Amino acid sequence: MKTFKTILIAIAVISIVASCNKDVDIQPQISSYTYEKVDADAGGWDPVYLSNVDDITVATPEDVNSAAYKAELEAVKSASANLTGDQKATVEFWGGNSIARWNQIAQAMAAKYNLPPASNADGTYSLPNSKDPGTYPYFPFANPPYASRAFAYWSAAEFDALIVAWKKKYQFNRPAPHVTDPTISAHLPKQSLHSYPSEDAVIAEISKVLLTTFFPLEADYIAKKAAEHKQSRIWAGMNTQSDIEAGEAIATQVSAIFKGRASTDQMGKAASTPAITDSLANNAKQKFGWKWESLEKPARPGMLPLFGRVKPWCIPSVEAVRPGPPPAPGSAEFESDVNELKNFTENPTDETRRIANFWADGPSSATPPGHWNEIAAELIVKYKLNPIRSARTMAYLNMSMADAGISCWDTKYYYFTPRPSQAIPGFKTLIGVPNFPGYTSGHSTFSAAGAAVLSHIFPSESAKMEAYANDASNSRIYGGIHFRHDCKIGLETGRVIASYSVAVAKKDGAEN
Amino acid sequence: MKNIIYVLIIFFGVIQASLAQTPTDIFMMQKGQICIALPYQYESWDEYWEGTLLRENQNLGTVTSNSFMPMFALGLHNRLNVIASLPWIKREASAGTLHSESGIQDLSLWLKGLLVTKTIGDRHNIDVIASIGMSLPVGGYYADYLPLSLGMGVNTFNTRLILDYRHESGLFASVFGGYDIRSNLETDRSNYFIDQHYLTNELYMPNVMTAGVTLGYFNELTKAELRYNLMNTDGGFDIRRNDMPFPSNNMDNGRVEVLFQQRMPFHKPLGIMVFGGYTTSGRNVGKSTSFGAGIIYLTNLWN
Repeated sequence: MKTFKTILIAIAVISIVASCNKDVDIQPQISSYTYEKVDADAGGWDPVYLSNVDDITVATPEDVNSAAYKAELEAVKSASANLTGDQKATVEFWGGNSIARWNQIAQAMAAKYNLPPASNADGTYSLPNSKDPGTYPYFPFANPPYASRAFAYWSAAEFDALIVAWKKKYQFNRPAPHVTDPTISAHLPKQSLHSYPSEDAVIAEISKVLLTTFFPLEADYIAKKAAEHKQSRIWAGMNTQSDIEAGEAIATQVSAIFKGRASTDQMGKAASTPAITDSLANNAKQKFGWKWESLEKPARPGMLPLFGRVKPWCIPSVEAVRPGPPPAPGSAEFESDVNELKNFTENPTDETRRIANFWADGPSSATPPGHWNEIAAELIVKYKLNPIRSARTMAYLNMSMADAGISCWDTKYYYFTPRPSQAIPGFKTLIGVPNFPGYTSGHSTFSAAGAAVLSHIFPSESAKMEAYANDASNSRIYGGIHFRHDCKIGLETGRVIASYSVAVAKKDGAEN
Repeated sequence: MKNIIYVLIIFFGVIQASLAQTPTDIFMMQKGQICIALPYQYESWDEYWEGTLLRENQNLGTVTSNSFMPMFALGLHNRLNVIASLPWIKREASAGTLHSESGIQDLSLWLKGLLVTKTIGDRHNIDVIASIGMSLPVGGYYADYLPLSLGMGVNTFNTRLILDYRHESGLFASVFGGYDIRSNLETDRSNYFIDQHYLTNELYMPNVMTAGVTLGYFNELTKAELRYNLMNTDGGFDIRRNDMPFPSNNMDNGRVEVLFQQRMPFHKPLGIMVFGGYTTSGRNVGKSTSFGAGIIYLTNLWN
């Protein structure tokens, strides 16, 4: 019995030791920092969509010596004294870079809703319905085009609203609470930035309205996060209640304008029906002699066949950037690409497989545009960007990737080419095959566009960004879901698309 | 007293003659004895549980696994055995585009100890056996490729406690319980959503609880077992509607298994085994049917 006991004790001890430290870090830490600069002139930058910054109005703030403002200061003083551990954690969570934080939330929404609907018993597929989002299939199916569009609206609206906020800040010149009343202790780094309107309230409220528009089932969660974000600024001693309300007022007006754009940008007509897919297939068959077919069983109509008609942000039209046709099956280039693919899928190395999986960005991931948002969110923190420069980075990145999605989907359904597994008998892949035509590769187009914008904003990162884009593009070849020519032309087109966004960025006033 | 000795001789005599295979059975190899087994198994499923929903998937069709599972059990001492196995598996889907996987899976190593053996009256015997083991994904396979990956790609530390009752007629019954501690899995992903969004490549792998009950019969040449085994992860999350399975899912299953072994009367070291199993309940796993056969060889390395 003694041996038995000893063994049991030994087992228990080893078990406890072995089970330690299995906690997974859900998100990277973002510590608060002093901005590299505050961009006091940012109120004069050109917005990306608002026609006139002065159309957005905010109430003139009470004077800092008024009784009303003094009462607000007292409220901040009392709320920011003696914070609990949870309150401090909330202040620190939002205080690092709240654009990066909301971007993580947007990535999470994209990942959560990035699941293709299951087929019905009769072999058909139902489409998610924005009018009835809570009935399966839930709205939305956040596929890559959908996600790229959501990221673009969210970030463009943030940028334009912050331009308004900066303009008002330097019009009203209200100092931060801890400046007016030095007995208020700031729990975050003091920035030399005026506090009315609160940039954090702008960011939180824009996020609330736009993310709720794109992910309506998350309304309660998003509202809770927005309230927490705004409250954190009072706890931090960084804003008073009227600062917050002024920020909300800007966000409400600006988000309404962006919601108006979203409701008329043709997305509502982009979804697939078997009839649309069939007619595009027949056009391609007549024009080119081939047509893409769904590899799924039951056959699923192609994803968003008319997404190419959605209103773009920076490119003049899809026709202006649409590449020429791919090499025809049987041509030397095509056959060489076939052989290359077979080699990568039959003889993968650890490295090709790692790259294929790292950039797979399939169901339940934040999608390829979401992956680039993750990269960009790290850069805006690394370079200690202030909120408006953070939003500007995200806006140009995401407008460019939304244009990449729009252009690429136009190209895909214009040429309607088969995937390798359709074109090559018995061909097997190492990652899942997306349900839309092959040429050009969406990931290559998104990635080249994203890398070019980030290289423009962070020139010292450009070699890394280019390498990422090449890996992302190659990952589709390594995984066996795209031919080399899909990827090569995708990369080239992505760079052309980004040049339009970069041209806008160069003259918006932020690079003077 | 004489009777007890007589019974012990019979019991150990028979046990010695039988075949020790697994960390959870009731058989021990004697000092210096080694049993080498080479089983082949065919396993397939065409339905799986997506959470609690039992479904087909026409994009997978039937998922089949062909495995060779070489193993040995060695008696370091009459009451202490070491068991090792290293399977080779090929797994493929009959439909869809995903490439099959094949290769070496996890090396598992066990120590199995007979802690208590007690004879009651003339005909009854009770044993307490404990096993501890570990497994290592030595094959370097891709774990984040379910449902076709060869294994979970994690290190495990395993414990089992077995109680058995044997009757002199050769009938026996046993129960076991166990717990496997698993390391987390480093994937190549940059992010993933299960219950929430994770911006990391690391998957939290829940530990695993197992239990089972076995009824059986054995004599010098023959062994037959009927088993019901349960496996249940200690946490984890369901596959979401129409999502792919995920290594860190909440995986449960209940399986009924049969095993029959026969040693050759003309050459007693040599034996054959046939076995089968059927998944009766589950969660986030395939509803599989399996059967297999193998040869076994029992000999003395030293005395």
